[in-house]
Amino acid sequence: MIVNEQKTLYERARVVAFKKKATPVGDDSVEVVEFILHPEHYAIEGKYLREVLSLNEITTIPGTPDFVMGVINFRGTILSIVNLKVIFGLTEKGLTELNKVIILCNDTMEFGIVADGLVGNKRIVSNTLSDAPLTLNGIGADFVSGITDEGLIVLDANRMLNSTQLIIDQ
Amino acid sequence: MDSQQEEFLRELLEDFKIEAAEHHQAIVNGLIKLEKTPGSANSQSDVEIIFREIHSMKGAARAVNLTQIEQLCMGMENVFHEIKKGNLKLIPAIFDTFLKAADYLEIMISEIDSKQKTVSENNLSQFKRSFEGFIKKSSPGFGVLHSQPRVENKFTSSKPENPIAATAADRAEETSLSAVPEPLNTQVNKPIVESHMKLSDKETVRVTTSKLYDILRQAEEMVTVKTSLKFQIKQLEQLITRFDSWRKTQDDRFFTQSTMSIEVDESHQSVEGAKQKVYLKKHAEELNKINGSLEQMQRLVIRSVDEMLLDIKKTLLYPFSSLLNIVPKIVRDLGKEYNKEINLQMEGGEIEIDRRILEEMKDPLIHLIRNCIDHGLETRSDRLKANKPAMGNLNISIRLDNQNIEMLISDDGAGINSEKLINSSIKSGIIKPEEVEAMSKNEINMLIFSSGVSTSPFITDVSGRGLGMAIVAEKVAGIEGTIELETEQGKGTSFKITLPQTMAAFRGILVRASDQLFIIPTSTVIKALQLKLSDIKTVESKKTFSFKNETIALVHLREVLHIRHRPAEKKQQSTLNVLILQLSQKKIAFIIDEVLGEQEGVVKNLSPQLRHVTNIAGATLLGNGKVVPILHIAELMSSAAQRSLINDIEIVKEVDNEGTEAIERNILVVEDSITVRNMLRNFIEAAGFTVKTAVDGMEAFEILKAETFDLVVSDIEMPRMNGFQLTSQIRSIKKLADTPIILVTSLDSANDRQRGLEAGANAYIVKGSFEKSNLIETIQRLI
Repeated sequence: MIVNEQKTLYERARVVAFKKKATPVGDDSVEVVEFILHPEHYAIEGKYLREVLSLNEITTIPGTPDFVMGVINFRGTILSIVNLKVIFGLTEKGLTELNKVIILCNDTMEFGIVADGLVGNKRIVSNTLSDAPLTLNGIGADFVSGITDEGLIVLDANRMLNSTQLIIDQ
Repeated sequence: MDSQQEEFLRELLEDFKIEAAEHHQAIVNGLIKLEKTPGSANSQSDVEIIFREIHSMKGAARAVNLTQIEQLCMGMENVFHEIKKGNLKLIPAIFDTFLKAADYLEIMISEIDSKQKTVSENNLSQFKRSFEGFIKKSSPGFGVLHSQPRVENKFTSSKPENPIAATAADRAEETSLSAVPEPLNTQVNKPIVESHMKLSDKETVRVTTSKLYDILRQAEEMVTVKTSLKFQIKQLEQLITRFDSWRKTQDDRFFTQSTMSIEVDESHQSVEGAKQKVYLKKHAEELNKINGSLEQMQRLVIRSVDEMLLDIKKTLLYPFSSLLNIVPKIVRDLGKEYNKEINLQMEGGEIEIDRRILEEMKDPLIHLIRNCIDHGLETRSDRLKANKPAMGNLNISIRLDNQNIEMLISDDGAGINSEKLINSSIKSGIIKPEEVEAMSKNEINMLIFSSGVSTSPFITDVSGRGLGMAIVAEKVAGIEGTIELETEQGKGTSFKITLPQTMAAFRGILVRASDQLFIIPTSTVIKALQLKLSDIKTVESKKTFSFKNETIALVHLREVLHIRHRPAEKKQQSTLNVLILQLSQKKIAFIIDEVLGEQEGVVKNLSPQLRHVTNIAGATLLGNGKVVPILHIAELMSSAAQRSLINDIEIVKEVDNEGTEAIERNILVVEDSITVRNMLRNFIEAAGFTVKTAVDGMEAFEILKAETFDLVVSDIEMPRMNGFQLTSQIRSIKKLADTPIILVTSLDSANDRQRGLEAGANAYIVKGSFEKSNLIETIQRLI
């Protein structure tokens, strides 16, 4: 068992340490993090991602719209959690885990989004993205930069963070 | 280098602003004092003070190259030099000109940083001409001769016994050391250590308030350590209790075993048993020791955190005089404007109070003074007609009473006309005409604090719009103060404001409404009680009850907050848990499910995304790290008042349903994901079942052994004990064997389905194909 673990760790370290060949792309390539919102796969630009954690305990705040799942204690400060499934209208597609929190931030805003799972890092070339599907509308459509060939939906984290529509100020 | 110099100059200017504001205030106060009592014995020393303050300001202004301020001060100084020497009489025109000049100084000081310059060269030369005019009036031949620099030289040389005042002018970064009447140079000559020792008690440093508040915030964060430690100790104590009872059963077991098996390998058994006994005992002792030292640490932490907070708060205390200083000028200006002669008396300026409270009190104080002068005090002719002294009296006194500070603002004016007050209140819809009869005198007086009420027929720029007093009441309530009012028609009015000396640490009552926790600020709770259902009356289709002869409206907290009602709560409701909350004269009682205790904490903002959520003021952390929202009582009360009547009727229905409740069906939901757990709970509860939850198979099994359930809904992949294992465990216990089990999972393979059924599950629902109705149907089919 321990040997296996060692081996796995070694293997993992080797993969991480391995210097990837320069991806055959120009300046247009961006580092993204891929995550799952059942049944779809999304990606978000890495530079707006602060941290990923497991969702253990969440406090719902009465009087907030459905897309605000609640708030969590993030090392002594309070952080709000957004459920993108509500914004993208995916709520009816089955039960999901939504037990990972991806914390997004820029200079002025910080909140977490919940995901069903994290796939990993990836590089994509932004000018190869196709437009968002027409089926998306409302605020959700504003947040989509485009879709990759593999069907990965790339979100514009900065636009989400700057969106006044996500700010609750009643 | 350049930027460094710039930085240095900027710092100097900051220092100058603080210093100049102090000089300015002293000049204004001196002038007003002198104007009131020009011939008194102290007038000479008052002149001296003003002269010195002007002089210091001039010197400081020169040090930072603010020529305009320097010039204006120089002109003022020249005039006061003549006054000091007795060459110039203090005529009213001097006061008007000088107070005006002081206003200009204030403007110039405030505009140091901005590009905008309100004061023109023209203004300054006008002042210069007025000043020269005063000096010409003095003994001929003297005034003109004195050129400015010589005035200064003369001053320093003519006053050798007080060199501090002279040096003060040259040091822009002056500390309050200048108040120590001891020549500086003698201290310099003493050994350094000694002078340091001597100074350390009185020495002061200027620190920006923002730095102090940063320290205070950090200290307040330590409160969380306190609550967290308390929680951890409680957890440990529970662990010890469990361990002790388990140890006892182990000991008993060994005891019986060893007595029964005397014949079989006696020595071995008893040795093993004794070993284990010693081992367990040792661990029990260690646990208790850790608990003991933790408790000791808790006491230490509580003491030092509390002391630290208190000390930091003490450094933030400020004499009341810093607020009262602005009063004489306001009174003088308003008195002139309304042509009223006012004798202002102030006392208690030395009493110290939290700076933040002082800042909050500035507006209310100004409103109250304006109110007194505009509405309270009569004109000279009216006063004489009423056989009162021609001069109106306005008294402001500050008293320290235990930990509270009392601010009394009273006048001997006309008092509040209650008839006008009632009419105005009726007109603006605050009270109904028929309610007046039942109101006490005090209640009628308190109407003045309602928004929109004014007894003044005229709307002036200072008062009459009926907002001022509402602002006063709001601000005072905001810092947890109270305001009382006494008035007698024809005799006068007095407002008594009671304020805390320091901003208290936030304290709140932790309550549960449905399955959610909330904090209600302790200061707003006037009573927690258990209300019998029979005590509730319906008035105009609203629920009320009577408390100390007062009718109080009753609402469900969860309904005001629109929280889902959990049917499980219905059963033991023969009484209701009620908190009566009060905010500026308004009382509403809220029904809650449970009071869990009082909590000390730090009020935190909800998060940048949740800028403001109705009814929520912020949040605080419990000892276990859980976030709990703090309710905004003012908003909560208006939300409660706006609620539609339909919700009120719901209470009646609930109450009526009490006895005839259908048989309850209990379902245990086992799921490690909090999201899915809550989702499942909501679905199943919505269908009318009572739900209890567990986070994994292990916990579920413990709960199942203790309580009875009609059905279990479980996830498969869980830590400690998964759904398959849980199913097998349940089936292996006779008492539980018949409980229906539904496995809900994302594992969608024929293999797993088979495994689940083999383990004894009754149904298997795959999350991917999951639909609400499907689950509920399955549950209903199986029960």
